[in-house]
Amino acid sequence: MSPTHRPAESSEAPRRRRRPPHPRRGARAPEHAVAPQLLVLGDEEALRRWSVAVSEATALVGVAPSLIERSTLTSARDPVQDTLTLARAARGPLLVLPAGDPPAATSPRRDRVLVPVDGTAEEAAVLGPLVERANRHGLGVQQLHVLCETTVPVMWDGPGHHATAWLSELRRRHQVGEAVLQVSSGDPASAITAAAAQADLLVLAWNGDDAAEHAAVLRALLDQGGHAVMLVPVPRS
Amino acid sequence: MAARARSAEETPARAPVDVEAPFLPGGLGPALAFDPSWCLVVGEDPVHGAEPALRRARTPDWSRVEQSLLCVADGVIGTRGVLEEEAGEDLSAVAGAGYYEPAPGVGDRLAGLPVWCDLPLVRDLGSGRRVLDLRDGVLTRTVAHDGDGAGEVGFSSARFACAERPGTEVLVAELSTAVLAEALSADALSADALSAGAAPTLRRTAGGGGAAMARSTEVRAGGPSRIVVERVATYVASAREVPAPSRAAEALGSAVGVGPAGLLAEQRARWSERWAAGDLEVAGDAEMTRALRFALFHLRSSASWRHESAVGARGLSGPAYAGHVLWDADVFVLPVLAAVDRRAARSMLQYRLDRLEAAQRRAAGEGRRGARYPWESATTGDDVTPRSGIDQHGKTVAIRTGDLEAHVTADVAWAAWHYASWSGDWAFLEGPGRPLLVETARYWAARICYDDARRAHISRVIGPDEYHEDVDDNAFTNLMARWNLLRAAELVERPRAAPRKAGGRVDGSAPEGREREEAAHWREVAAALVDGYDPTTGRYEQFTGFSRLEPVLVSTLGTPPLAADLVLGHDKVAATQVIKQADVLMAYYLIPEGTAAESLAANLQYYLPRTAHGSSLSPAVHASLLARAGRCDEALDLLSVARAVDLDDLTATTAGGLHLANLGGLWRAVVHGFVGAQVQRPDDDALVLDPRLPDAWHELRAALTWHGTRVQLTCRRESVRVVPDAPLTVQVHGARARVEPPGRWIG
Repeated sequence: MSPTHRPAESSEAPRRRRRPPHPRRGARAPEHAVAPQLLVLGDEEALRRWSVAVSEATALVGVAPSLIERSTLTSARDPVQDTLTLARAARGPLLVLPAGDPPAATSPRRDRVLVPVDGTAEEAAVLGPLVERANRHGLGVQQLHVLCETTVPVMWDGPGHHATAWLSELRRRHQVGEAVLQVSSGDPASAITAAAAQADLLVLAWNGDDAAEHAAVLRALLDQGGHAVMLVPVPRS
Repeated sequence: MAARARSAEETPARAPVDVEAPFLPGGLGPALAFDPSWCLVVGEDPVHGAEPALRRARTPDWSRVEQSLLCVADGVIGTRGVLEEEAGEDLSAVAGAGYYEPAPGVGDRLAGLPVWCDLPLVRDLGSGRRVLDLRDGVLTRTVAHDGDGAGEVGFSSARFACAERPGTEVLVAELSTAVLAEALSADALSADALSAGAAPTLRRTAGGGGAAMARSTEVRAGGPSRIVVERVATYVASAREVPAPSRAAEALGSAVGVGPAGLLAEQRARWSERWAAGDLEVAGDAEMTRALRFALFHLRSSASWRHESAVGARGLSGPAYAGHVLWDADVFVLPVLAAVDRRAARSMLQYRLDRLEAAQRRAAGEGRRGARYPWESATTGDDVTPRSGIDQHGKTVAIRTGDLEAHVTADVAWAAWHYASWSGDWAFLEGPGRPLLVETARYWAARICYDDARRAHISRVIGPDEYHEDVDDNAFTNLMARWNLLRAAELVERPRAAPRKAGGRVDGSAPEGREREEAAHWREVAAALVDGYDPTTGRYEQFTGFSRLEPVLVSTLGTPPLAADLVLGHDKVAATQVIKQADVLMAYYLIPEGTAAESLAANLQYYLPRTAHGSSLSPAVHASLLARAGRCDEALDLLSVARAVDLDDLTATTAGGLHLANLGGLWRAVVHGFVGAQVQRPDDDALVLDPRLPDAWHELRAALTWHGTRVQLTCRRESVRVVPDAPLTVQVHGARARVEPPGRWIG
């Protein structure tokens, strides 16, 4: 049984013991030298607007925009690249909050979470516990697996028996608790940004590679704007 | 329990555990020495610190894949490699061959049978290190435990399905009291507790059948704080009637009387016999050898010598494909068994023979004579192919294979002929197999339509390449139909060895004179049937209009194997020349004698670059044909892909069971492709061999049985050693030779 699917009580207990004490919520990050558990990129107003979505985070460390405005990160004058740079430097999750008003489609409760799933063990190990936590707090989590050139199954015997077996196993491997795992096809950036219109928060695994072909989804979401995105680092495979 | 309450920080470093103990648990006897070419290992390897044998790191949960890989089966009952503490909750842990139950949307599906191997252990025990020893079919599990006596083996078990007594299963476990479930404290431990559910259990299945299971559990002390559990279970099952539970109890009594150690001795003797009759070994390549033996092991485990064997697409190793019987059984599994265990192959044919009437009903329902076998078959032989199913997005789409994939009818006929050709069993073809050949030929004769030029056509079919549906004159279908017609004609025209039975016959055949007239008609139809062959190019057109499709090569989409239909989409891929799997080339695979002479190379050259290998059946087929074409290194590349289909879970569906057809394809790629063993007719007077080895191999060894003679072959680049157990005529690289035991090198 994978750690992802093991009941929280049995799999998380040792981890909890190893986890350092949680900083007080809202405390400022000392500096980059201290690895934040959750770095929030946005202003105080954004934080207030999106507070429901982030309220389940274990800790909030470091509230920007001061980080961008006052740091060398602004020198590129490319908000997207700045965000990626900051995310790569962060050793914990980074929550990027959009400026301005939430999109009209945003639900009042800010409780719809979209979690793209690429099907790898590394990603599942990182995202699984987060989805479990979201489930426990009653957030509506939709996991989305996009079939594209890099994720399409190597072999496919067609609809019916094969698709049933494949989808069943995909869900058993990646669907966490009450979350709903759906499958779409096409360009991941397009598919995820389209699905993001119906979500209040995206939780996105990212391996820190900001090469164009690897950060396309993130770039698309940031370019489009209006999305609250939690970037969660995963080790490069 | 203390072991569970201990924190991670308090847990002492795990001491090495002797996971390769020289003895099996519970006094079962000496273990066989570990041999990587025979042993499939999953899980931890604390002694050697080696990588697990299976590359499972890329998926977050490999447990159900392991369950399929570690299935132990006896051709009647299959038990997935479930952990003992989880077995009781898994409704598909145990399956019986041919035991189906009604299921919405899929007709019948393989029924889950009562579980026999469950034990009340702590739930966080861990799977430990598990080894399936292919030599004797014993699955062992060894788990270190952090409880009392940290670093010692907390639990060990050995499990097997009795090949000698199909339906009898054995589990012997040795455990510390620390690994018992909390509900079963050492004080409360008793045989009664572990024997819960010992009364025979009955399960009714579709078609009026059922299965009864009885089991016996003996519990005894195995040393300080250790106990030994011995469990023997017996299943009595019937696809046609509900068995009396007392029959299971009677069989259990017999097995218990022999005892686990005695049953293990039987098991080893039977498997030793099996490996002597059929084995493959690539000298110096333990990984490939293990993969080939893994294939043989599971193929042998999927059919029995009973009256009939329904071999589903996943055998007894998992519930996928609902356990339905497809052409996988006839074209990929049966050829292996025909060469290593003819009685099991015969049992598979009996499954088809017993459903000939259903096939006749199907043809009659279409207003045609003869018999049309269904694309998917289960209890009755009526078509159980779903007419709709989900796609990759979970949306319901139409499935047309049940209506259009007609070639299965000729595939079944081919299987009957192929069995007879390997075994030399003319009597089968002249006796019970005759109606099958005749009725399938009648179907094809009724299926064709003539055009104005009196050319015969078969329209509206799906060939093996399911990317292109509803096509006309699929070359493979037409070539197989022609082959079916000609073989049936030959059978009818052949002087009968035995007098015809009086009275009615299942094929409803006409008197002999009219049969001969009918055979002449079949020959006319066969001659008139178009096949798409163009002598100027030396190629067959896959179906009418294929050459006008967009000429897309798979390499432009990615590196095969590739699910091109998912990459391009259903409609787009259908508009291209990209194909899912061998189609024209399947004819060369099955009936090379039915294809144009010296045309394999041209067709390989054309179709291989267009083949996505989206089907698990495809790589092994091409490996076989590439070897025959002399492209041995390319053949080995594709053989390596085929090897990984289940062991590396290439399809991400091995959790639902092993791809038996691919396993059969592996064997055939080696025996047909590299060894060059060819059989065409039951009256072949020599075993034809034409070994060709890839550069990476210097020696290939094969054991098989041809016309009742066991023969061991050692193939090298320039020579082959033939060791038969009776005088044998072989034809090696075109030269005939008579070989007497103890055999000799040729070439």
